[in-house]
Parts: sequence; C-alpha cells; structure tokens
Amino acid sequence: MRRLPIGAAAVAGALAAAVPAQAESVFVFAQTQSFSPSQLDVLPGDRVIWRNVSTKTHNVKFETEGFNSGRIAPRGVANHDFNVPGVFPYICTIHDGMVGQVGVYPLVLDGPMKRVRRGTSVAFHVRAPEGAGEVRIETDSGTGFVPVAVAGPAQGETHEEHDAPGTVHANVVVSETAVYRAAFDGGVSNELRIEVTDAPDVSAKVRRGGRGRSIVTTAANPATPGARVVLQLKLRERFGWWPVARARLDRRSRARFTLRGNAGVPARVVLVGPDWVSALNASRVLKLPH
Amino acid sequence: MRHVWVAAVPTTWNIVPNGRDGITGATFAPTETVFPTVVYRRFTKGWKRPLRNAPVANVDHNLVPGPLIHARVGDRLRIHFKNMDATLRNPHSMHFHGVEYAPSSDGAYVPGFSGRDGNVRPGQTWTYKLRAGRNSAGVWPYHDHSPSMHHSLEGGMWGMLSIRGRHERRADREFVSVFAPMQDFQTINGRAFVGNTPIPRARVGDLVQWDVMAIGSEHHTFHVHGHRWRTAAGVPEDTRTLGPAESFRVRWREDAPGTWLYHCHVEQHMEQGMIGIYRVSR
Repeated sequence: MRRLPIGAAAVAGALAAAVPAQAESVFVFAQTQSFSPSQLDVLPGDRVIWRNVSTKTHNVKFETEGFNSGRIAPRGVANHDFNVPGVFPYICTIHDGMVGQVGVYPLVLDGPMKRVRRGTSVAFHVRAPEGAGEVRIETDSGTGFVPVAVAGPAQGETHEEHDAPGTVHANVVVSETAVYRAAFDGGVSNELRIEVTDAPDVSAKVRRGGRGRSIVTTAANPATPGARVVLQLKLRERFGWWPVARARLDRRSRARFTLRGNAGVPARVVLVGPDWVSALNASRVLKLPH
Repeated sequence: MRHVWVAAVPTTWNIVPNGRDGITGATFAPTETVFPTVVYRRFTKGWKRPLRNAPVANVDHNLVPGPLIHARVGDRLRIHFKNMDATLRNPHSMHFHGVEYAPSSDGAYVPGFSGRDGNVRPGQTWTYKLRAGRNSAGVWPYHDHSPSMHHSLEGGMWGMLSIRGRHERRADREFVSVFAPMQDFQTINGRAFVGNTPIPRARVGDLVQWDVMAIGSEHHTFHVHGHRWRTAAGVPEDTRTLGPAESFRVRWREDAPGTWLYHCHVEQHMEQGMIGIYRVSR
C-alpha cells in the first residue's frame, strides 16, 4: 500500500469497518491548487477519500468511472469505492490544471520514491489479496519483464504492525535504472520506475560558531574531491529553498560554510551538476542553531 | 571625472532559483530555467578583480542587471568596457541613453559608419566618453547595441544609469527594477515569481527611489501595493506604463510598514513571473 499521510491513518482505521474485509481507505488531500498525492494505486474494493484541506471549494470529476463528487467545501470530504481494475484520471472542474489519477490493480507495489545509489538494496512492499499465492517482483530494463525476487512476510521488521493483512515484502539490489512490478497468477501490479544514480551521498552537520555564526560542514561519500555543493536555506520570503553559498569539495572531499543569523532556519547541502543548479543528491535537512 | 570598469562575462543564469511559483505552487525543472548567457559585470580598475554589481549578493552575485552607474549633472564619465565573452565569442558593446557623447561613444553597430565602439570583439576593449548634461537628470538604460544585440538583450545584457540633478540629494534606498522577458518567463531583473525576484527592503522614514525600465518588445505597467507617488504634474498614481527602453524613477518617503507586492499589472506577465515582494520594517 501507499503509506498513508501522517494523521490520516487513525481515521482510515475507524472507517475500515464500513468497507469489505481486506479493503482499505486511502486519503487524498485537496490543496489550494493540487491533489496530494496526485497519483494513487489501490486494490479492487478500496475506498478513496478526498479531504479538502484548503480554503477553496473543489470537486472531483472522473471521465470514465462515472463518479462526480459535487462541491467539496473547505474541510469537507467525498469518497468513492473502486471495484474494477483500470486507470482512472480525474479533475477538479473549478481549478484549471488540478488533476489526479487512481489506478486499480490486483496487486499494489510500493517502493522508494526517489533516486537510489547503484548497488543499494531496495525494499519493495506489495499489497495482495488474501490467498494470492506466490508474489514475484519483476523488472524490465528494456528487454521485457523477468522475475528477480519472491516477496514474503516481513522478518522481524517493526513496520509490520502498520501493514494491512496480505502485505508482502522483498529486497532487491538495484544496479541500473529500470521499471519494477509485482506479479502473481491473478495479474500484475502498477509499475514503479526506480532511478539509479552514481552520485555520492552528501552528509552535513551544523555547529555554533562565535558571534552568532553557524558553521555547516559537508562531506561526500564516496569521496569526490572537486564536486560542486550549494548551501540552501528554506526562507519564508524566498517561498522555498534558496541558494545562499556555493563551494567545491576539497581534497578530503569536504567543504565548510559560515553563516551569520538565520537562527532556526532549515538548511541543507545539495550536490549539483556543472550548471551549479541541477541537483544530484541532497543532505538531510538541518536546523541552524540559535 | 568618474571611471567605471565593466566587462561582458559569460555566466550560467537561473531565472527561478527556488524552482517554483510561490503563489500558484507550480514547479519548474532546472532544464526550463537555467541557461548560459553573457552579462555585464563591474570590475576593479584595469579589470583586475570582478566585483558584485549590487551590494546585496546571493549565490549568483546579482549579475543581472549590469552595474548601476551613478553620476550627477555636470559629471564626465569614462566607462571602460572589455569583452570577456570567451564561450559564445560574440561581439558586444555598451550603448547609453540620456547622456551626451560623440558618435565614437554611441556603442551602436552601423556597417560602414560605426567604429569599434559598436563592435567590441572578444578580448578587445573600448572606453566610452560620456557627459551628464543639463537634460540628463533621471534614470536611463544602457545595453548591448553590437551585432549580437538581440541575442544579448534576451540574455540580460542591460543596466541603468542613475543621474542626480545638481542639487538633488541621494535617496536612502535605491531599487533597480528592470521589466524584461527572458526565455519563456516575464522577469524582473532576470528573475521570475515571488521569492526569486529581488526583495527590496526599506525602513519607515527612508527616502526610497525606484529606478524602473522596460527592455524587450512589450509594454509593462509598474505597480506597487500600498503606495502612491506623484507625476511631474503633481497627480498621484500607483501604476505607470512603460514601453520598450522607456525608464523613469519615482520617489517617496516610506510610511507603510509591511510586506507588499510589486508587479507588472499586465496579467499575463504577472502569471509568467513579473511579480515580487517589497518589505518595509518599522
């Protein structure tokens, strides 16, 4: 299953009693100008609930599924049960460009949403109907799908308690960018594209310098002397992440930024390409000290 | 005599550094917003060391627009220009509005008539000799007028002259706002959308001056929320129209604390990024 947005899980659990066993309720949040998530994959029998968390009125209109929510006022909800496999795009007719899509598959595959480093072991999670039998993970790097792993119950993992019954798992070491899907005798799942990168991991640390200054140190692993890094701050007046300083990593694959002010502001270091803009990888988000 | 050292330098420009339109939430990939270009950059004497064009710098060193060149009526100016365009290897020049000069300082390319001033090749230099005359008080554009003018103007090769009258005091804050299209965006100083466009800052009580001009082939309107100024005839207004290469300055004594919008009121241009925030503190 797609991981539920935080806060929605408890509500979804309470509503689950109203829908058939195994089926789940999955939330989509209607924001000012977008649906989040805009793409969602579910099993037949699942219920999708749209909750309007914006201050605007929205609606949800499907072209093919024959479902039209009518107006959803701020804080309002609308829901629909999906029983037939297929891909169903929808729009908000009030707000131009506000679009979404629900995919209904006999299996639902979930995996990493961002790029991973070559050689990483990636965890896949598959929601399957009860009594599904063997569920395989298949990959296609351009020559057709071939099985690479068999999914099974989680082993000693703590996330087990969050899983719906029937969720199985598999770890696959990825070596190239490819499309993945889950398959069993009853059909195949949605497809996930896993992008593989050779960009090194970026780590960053922050400490307090003298006279109200913050010192951010960064390093790349494996070592990449000369690589370009940009320090970004998340600033309210910049409406997002804003580049404030740039550097090349030294011979020990490290760089250091000294900043004045901006206490409490989120900061991150981004490894960038030759244009100093295209992001190859980013550090975790730090908070500048007070 | 005022000496200014300027060079045409290659750079990589990002029109939307935060990657988004902060008002609608639309996002943009670097492939849509980043491009190689050539810009004017201020240097120390003899082009020894590059300087920032603007006092408040970010990671791009505020290279668009070119340096704001100050003078006073009666001043003579020597603008020493060097073409350092080593990547695209185009000719460049500087052509100034609003000031007095001989044809050899016009900086415009006319085959058979103009000299090296209008066609400064890579590696070459030219000194433009200008005079701020009686009719020069105000703000004026300068820009590339060489054979590569049209390409250069789309890439941000323009800047402003700010000339005070003989007895005029300097404003406490001076903001340059150039309205110009760039790639698929409508920009202020080469940047599109709130947060990316310049954030002018002032304090209540400051005498603020906005230097405004339009570059390109379209008309724009300069509008600031929460503020008014007076025309030469004494009529208050809060929106003024500019056509290509037109320029004006407006002044007011700041009395409105808060965060305000300023933008071009041609709605299509607003949607394409010609909008910013102006912050006034107490």
